Amino acid sequence: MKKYIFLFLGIMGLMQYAGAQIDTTKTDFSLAFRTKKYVGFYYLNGFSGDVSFQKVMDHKLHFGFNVATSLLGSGLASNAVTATEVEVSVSCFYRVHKRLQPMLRLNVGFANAHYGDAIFDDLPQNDMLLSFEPGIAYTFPQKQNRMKILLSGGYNFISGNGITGLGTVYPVYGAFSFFWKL
Amino acid sequence: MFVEINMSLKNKIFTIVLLSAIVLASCSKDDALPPIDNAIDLDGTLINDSSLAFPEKYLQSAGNVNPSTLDLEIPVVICAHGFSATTFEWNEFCEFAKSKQNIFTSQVLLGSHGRDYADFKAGTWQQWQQPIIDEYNKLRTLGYKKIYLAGASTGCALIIDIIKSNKINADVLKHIFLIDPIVVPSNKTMTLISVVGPILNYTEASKEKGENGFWYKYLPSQAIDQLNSVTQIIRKDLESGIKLPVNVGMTVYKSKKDNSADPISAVLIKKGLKLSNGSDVEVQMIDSDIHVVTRLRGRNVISDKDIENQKFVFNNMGDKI
Repeated sequence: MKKYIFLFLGIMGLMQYAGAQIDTTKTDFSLAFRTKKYVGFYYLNGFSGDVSFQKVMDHKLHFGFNVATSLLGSGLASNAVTATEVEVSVSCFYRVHKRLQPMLRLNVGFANAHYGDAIFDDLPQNDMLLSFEPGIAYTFPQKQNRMKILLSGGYNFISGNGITGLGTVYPVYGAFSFFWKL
Repeated sequence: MFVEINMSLKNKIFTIVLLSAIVLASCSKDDALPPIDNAIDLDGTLINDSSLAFPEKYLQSAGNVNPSTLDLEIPVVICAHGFSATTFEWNEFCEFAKSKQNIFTSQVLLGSHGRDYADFKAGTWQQWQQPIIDEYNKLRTLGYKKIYLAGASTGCALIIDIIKSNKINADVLKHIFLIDPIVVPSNKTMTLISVVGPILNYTEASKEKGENGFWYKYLPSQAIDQLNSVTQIIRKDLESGIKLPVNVGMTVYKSKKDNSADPISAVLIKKGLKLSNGSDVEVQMIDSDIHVVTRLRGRNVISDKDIENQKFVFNNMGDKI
């Protein structure tokens, strides 16, 4: 419960600066560290890329990709299954010239799991990913507005049951991304 | 009307949240009892697992309180059933063991199981586990020298926890058999039970006619939450690594297509559970689409392949005992 109170207070604090104006260029490129946690399953860590254009809805529409793996998350120095996910995404950011920006994102991609033994070769090892991910982003005033964090939660429309789909894909997840504008 | 139209944004949001809460609350079945049919449902108060009335027929410790020196040399397999099931799940194996004439069995009824809905709802996974520990301790105290543990589905998760948490003295434990162990559920929405549970209250399990009276039909969200807890704990323990006690072996039999326990449960066990010398445990992936390949009785459709698989697992277990 404590962490939710701190999270709430943090968001309230950020709201103090939420109205400040942010300048954009013709094309904005960002790279991010991304951590994703399935509810009831693994942490997957990796990176994201994001690009938006002034000509395309004045930076409201973003195109990006996410690559995350349990090797850098739950599988780090543990016996967890190696699960890797690669996605491309389209996001719609609102209040793009303000510090606090609500966001809606659609991710499409694929997931792979590596079981490490031939006896498991008959089990599903790949699956499609399709998820809806709403969230909220905040751009920090330091470093010429280059730093942005994104808190989001997602729902996988395709989750695996281990028979017809990959067992490492769970329906609900939370994600945190730390962007750096190039 | 005018006031409503001119509500501030804050008030609108508050109203929406309040209405949503009311709708969700009205959707909840609260603590209402499911439509239990006492005449046929195990969930009712009339039908109980037979081991409660006749423990001597199911438990070696109760059936033979003064074992001879010869008896004490005979291996005893303690069989633990799965979530919502009863001792029925191990009947066929016990009949097989009896036919071999040199294996004793103890069909343990998990705590809060085989009784009624209220018991199932109130039980914790630690209470489910306790009868396995109790039977092992009783047999060990009686002097049995070769004890085996066999679990089906959730019974496997409970056994893994017993080993990991050193809940028994494993000096007379010889081997562990896991049949379709559950570490990762096939139905991934189970992980959301703490959120949706209060709204659902209970879910109805689809059971075949021959399973009536041997499985709980209505699964309280509290019991599903307990199942979710124990599988989460075991998964994390396996990620950290578990070592079996010295001289204890393990064989895992896992159906390749299992709509209850995701087959990657076997992957996690193979990666996370090692023999005392660091070697891998034995895993047999069974070409089957049923959950708990050793239990065929009560199923509507049984194929030749199912019978073959059951025979293979029983014989394989028999060879290791």
